[in-house]
Amino acid sequence: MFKTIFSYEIKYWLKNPSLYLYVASVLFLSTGMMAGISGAFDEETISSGRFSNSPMSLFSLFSTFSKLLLFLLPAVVGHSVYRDFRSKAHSLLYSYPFTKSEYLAGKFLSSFFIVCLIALMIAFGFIIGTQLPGVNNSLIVPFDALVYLQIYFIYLIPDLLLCGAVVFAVVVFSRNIYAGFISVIILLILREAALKLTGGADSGIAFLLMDPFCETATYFYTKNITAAETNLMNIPFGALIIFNRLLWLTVSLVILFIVNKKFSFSQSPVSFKLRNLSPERITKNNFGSIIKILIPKVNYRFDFIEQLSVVWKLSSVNFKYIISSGSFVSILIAGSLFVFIILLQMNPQYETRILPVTWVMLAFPVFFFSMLINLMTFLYAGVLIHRDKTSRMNELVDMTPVPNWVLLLSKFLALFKMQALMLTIILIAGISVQIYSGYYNFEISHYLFDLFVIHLSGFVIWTVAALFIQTLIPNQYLSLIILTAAYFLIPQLPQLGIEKLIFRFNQNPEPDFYLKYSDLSGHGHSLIPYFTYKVYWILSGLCLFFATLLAWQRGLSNSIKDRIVIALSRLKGITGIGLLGSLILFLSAGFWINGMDSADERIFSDMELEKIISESDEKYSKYRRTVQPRITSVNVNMNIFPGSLSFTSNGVSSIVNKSNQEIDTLLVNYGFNVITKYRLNKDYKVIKRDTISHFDILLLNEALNPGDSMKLFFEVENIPNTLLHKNSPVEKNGTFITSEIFPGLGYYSPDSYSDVTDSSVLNNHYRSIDSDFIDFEATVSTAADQIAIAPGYPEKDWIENGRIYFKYNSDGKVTNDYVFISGEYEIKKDNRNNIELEIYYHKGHEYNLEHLMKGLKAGLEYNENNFSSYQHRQARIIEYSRTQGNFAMSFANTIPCSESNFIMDIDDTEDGGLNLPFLGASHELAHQWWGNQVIPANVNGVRMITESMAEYVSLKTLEHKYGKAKVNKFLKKARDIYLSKRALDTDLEKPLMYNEGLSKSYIPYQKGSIVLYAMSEYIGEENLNKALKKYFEKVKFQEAPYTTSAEMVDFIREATPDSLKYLIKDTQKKMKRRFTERSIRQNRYIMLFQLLLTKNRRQQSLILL
Amino acid sequence: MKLSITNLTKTYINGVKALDNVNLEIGPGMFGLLGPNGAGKSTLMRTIATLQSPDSGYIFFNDINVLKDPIRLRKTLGYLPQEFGVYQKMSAEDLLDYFASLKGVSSKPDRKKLVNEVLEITNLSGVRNKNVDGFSGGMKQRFGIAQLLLNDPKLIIVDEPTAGLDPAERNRFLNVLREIGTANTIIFSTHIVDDVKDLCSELAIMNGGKILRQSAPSLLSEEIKNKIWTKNISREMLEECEVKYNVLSSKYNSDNSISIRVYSDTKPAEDFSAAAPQLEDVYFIALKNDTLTAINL
Repeated sequence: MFKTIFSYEIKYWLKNPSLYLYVASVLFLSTGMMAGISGAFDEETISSGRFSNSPMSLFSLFSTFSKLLLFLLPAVVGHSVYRDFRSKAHSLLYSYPFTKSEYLAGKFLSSFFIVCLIALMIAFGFIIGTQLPGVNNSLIVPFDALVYLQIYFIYLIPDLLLCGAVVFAVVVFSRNIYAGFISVIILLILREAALKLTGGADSGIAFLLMDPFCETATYFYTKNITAAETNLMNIPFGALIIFNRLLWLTVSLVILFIVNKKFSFSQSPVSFKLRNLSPERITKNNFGSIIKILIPKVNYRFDFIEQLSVVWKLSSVNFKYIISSGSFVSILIAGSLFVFIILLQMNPQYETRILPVTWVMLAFPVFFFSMLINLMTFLYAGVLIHRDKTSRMNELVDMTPVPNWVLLLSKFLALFKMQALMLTIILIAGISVQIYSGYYNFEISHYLFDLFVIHLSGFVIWTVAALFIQTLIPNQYLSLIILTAAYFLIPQLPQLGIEKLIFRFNQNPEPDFYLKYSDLSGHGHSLIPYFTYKVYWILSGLCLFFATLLAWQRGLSNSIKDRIVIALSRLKGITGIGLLGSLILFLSAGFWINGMDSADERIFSDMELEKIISESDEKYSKYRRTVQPRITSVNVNMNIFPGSLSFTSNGVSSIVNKSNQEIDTLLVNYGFNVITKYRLNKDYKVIKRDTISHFDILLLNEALNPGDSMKLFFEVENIPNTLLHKNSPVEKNGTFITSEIFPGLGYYSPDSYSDVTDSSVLNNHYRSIDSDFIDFEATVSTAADQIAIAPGYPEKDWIENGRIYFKYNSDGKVTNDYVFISGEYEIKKDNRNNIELEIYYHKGHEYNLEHLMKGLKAGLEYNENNFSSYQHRQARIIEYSRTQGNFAMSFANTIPCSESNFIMDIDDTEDGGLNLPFLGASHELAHQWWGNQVIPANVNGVRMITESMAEYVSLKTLEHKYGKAKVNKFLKKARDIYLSKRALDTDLEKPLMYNEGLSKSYIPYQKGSIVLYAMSEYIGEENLNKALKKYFEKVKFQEAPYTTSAEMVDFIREATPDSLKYLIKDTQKKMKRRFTERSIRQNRYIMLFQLLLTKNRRQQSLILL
Repeated sequence: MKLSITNLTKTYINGVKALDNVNLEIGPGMFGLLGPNGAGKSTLMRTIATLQSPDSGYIFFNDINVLKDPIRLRKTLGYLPQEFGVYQKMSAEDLLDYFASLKGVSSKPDRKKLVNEVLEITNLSGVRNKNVDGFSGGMKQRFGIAQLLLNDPKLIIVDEPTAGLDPAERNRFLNVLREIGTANTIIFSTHIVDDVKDLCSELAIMNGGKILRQSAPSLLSEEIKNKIWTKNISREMLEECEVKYNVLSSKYNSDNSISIRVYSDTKPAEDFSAAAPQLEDVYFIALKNDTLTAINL
């Protein structure tokens, strides 16, 4: 009998068109995905150096794909039994001559077989994808069937079996295919939550076994491998993986066994009663009587306003239905749990928590919840649209005089309420976590605006789309899959060449702008383009709303032909006018936006800039060594307008020919993304003006003799802001502009570090290529309620025309790079040995001021004690808006620091994380010595002198202030970051003293801190610092040629006893790639050993909670 | 008050002609639509109830052009389909409140008053807080009536409402219908002749999408007065009799003999006795004639 059922089911599926739809879409997606990452669509793809079909790549691709496949499980495995319930065949099946085991096994195995068939398409797709024309063959490795077998039999099929069993069980017992869909979502949420709770591959063996998909266990084996190893190694296979698979296979079988045991053909689904109703005997009375029927006179009203109240009433009934359904409740519970977990587990680098400020509470859950809300919308749009029919009440409803738009609007409103309810979860979770963490600054209006204005306006657009699709297509689950696929694929449209936002449904100009919220500058200008596009898409939603009315099913099922006829007949009156009107509005808004978008002048994105710069480099890098006069002083007027988010500036640079030859050619570079005008006080001809590369070549009519000087006058302002584009770096509050915007001399190569090939490269230091030291003067003006700051000492300030002006003077030699900051600040002052210490901070951001101040003092003390005195009378930290970044920088006596360093939750107890504000302040202050006094040449290895030293100093201040335990934490994190970043890097790693490239900052920072700290441990802190001091004294404030890391290492070597000399080689030497199997295995043992030693106590206690 | 149906035709996509040029004039009172299963009754009723559109033809209710202006008809329409379900986990009271909203009663107190009254009429007040999806067949049918009454309809369409009801429920149900029917037009379809007999002022017999007869029940019985004959025969003789006589119906007696009813202007044979004409006979005659016509065609 099993065979009969099985083959009947298989035949059913083979005849079912939806199977072919699933097969085709999986094949299409997997082919596209593989072709995409192999560079088939995009010639510009900067080669990642990662093989696209190496075993590990395939493994991660399959991991992604298997999650999508899970959503097909309800449609196939769930559908196989749901079909019988829906057609009420189950009550008949009872009387057929087969056992329930035969029935269940037949159903499950046949549908599971079909799922495996669909899953097989992924492999085909990947194989085809690697063979398509246009793929980059250097990224492809030969096909290896064993890898696919390993993925299918160890991961994919067991995963599908487990989830298939869960879905099967849920659908069998609930008689509801959507419960199956929900159970998949819940399974994924719970798994994510568990991963978050335990911190992924870092945690104990038990947890590695707990991942139902065995991914953490697998990545555990590959945790610290290098990029090259990732390309070459096979998918690991070890005891953990075997145990994990056995465990979950057992779980799957147990679930199936329970289904078999508990299932019966009885007719009603399992239900849970909250309370037992006392049974009562119902008898009939009033037989055969005749009563008078008098329907009370009430008002039957059908005017617009009354209809709206009907909309509200109907939506409440529908809303109540949604929120009382078990599926929704379980999603809500799982979702809320997850949100609580992620909010409580925000663990950025160094395990330091950010304070639970409102934007943090909003930022973390929104991505996940958006997905959840949209999936629920797609699902319940279908449930509501088809609700009357499902409950067979459609004839009763359809014959009432209620207009279609009332029904549609009521369903829309019900979904709207559902979305609002789910968003309220974020609000409640956010505030609860804030209370739990003892943070009482509740910004309710910020919550409400973000959740119910920014996010909800995006959700409603999807709601209308979902209602439209669900109305148009009679098959609910098909619609659900179409909508879900659209939701995940539309963001990928740019990869298919569709980049214009007006063609990308409901996408945002800056996808994550709300994550960049700043307490200083709010959402800033981003809100305007966001809402412009939202209005545009809401207009499309309006079109869809009217189109839905055309497609609305009223009365009995109609054929497609009938539906077209009906739709056309409805194309009159208000619906027709509405559709036409909204279509016209939508299209004209599209044209308007498109016109504006293409006409707008706008700044280049980082990607575009990268391209321009690398193209310019091909043309102009030959000018790198062209001898140029040097800038010796700069005087700037900078006017910042926080109200209009713009600035104007002008200034003059003095230029001196310091070389011993005549110079008649001047190379002028000027800032990207600003408007620059400049002139010289000498006559010249423009030989080349390259407005794309922002690089001009000028020929002086009269050459500049050695020792002669001239002046460069310049005016710089921002490209005007437009409705859709903010082109200026100015923020409402907390503006931060660096001197990169101003014109300079010479050609500046992007990755200008080079090896020391000849002495000429030592003539430029790393901070600027056109000057040694300069005298710097600046007048900065801003809105009267703000304070404007530039490097140097304040000379005077005055108010003129309602604006405030500040004059700064460097009062000595500084490097030619500077910064302008403007904001509404409070000031915290302190001093140490007559050095003024100031922190300019945003009111309300008092949390970390003590730590920042301590960091400044500790840095000052350590550097002065060990190296030399501070060159300024003052040190200032100034907070700027995090919209512009999360970093801090060190300029002469001025340290702009992102607001993110002002809102850390500091725990200085031994268990607590690292004190980032303290570390940050001492690091940046250390740069006043290492970077501003010792200024290395612009060659490879420069950042060993600047960043490694700053890290070393801040690590030492940490050690002196907080002890060894914190240092170990620091070093452990540094090691982890180093190893994980290294794994992403495909280039050969250069030794620390020749480190290169801005992208490889894990070498000067993390590796550098470990190396220098290790040296101080081996040869003694005092000895090391003595050597460094000697070096410092030799090179501080030197003019060209500038120092290099080789010189610094020489000083360290000199201080190192012969017995330890090998350390210098060891710690600085080239890292060789280790390809051999043996070293990979060794690496693994080391990691395992360390894992066992450093069990994280805090995380364990959380699991127990 | 008049419902007039002109040349109504509907052919389903599978080729079945459910309505074949139907013409009907229906006045106030109860109108019975009699016909076997699959005769096209439900299609006709759903078409009048604006749930289905015909291929051609017109329906007017007073001055309402039903096919052009369905919403206007729906305001005065009460419809109880042959089979219906309800939203799960909603009480009778809540559901009726929901329907009252759909029918344009926007004021909450009005709805409450109305719902109370229809619950009372249909004797559902005692179970007003019980979920309707758990109701027995009879209770559910009464709920159907209750929702139908909410908009005080002038045109009421009930499709085979008595199927599956016990005698008491059926009796009660028909009484309620009759009570409403005095002032309004009620179209009432059934395949049970007894339902129509006493209640309906007029009836039509329908088969194969066509109206076969339309008249008052008493007139129809009058037509065949003295033309119905009956006789008890043995089972073996049935085929022979069917050939020989115009047998309208035959049924077993308790002693295994069969009693047949024959339609004939004169007494067919000596052993036949005259029988009082029944509406059922009219029904069978109409169906039989229709079948014969169809065969002859």
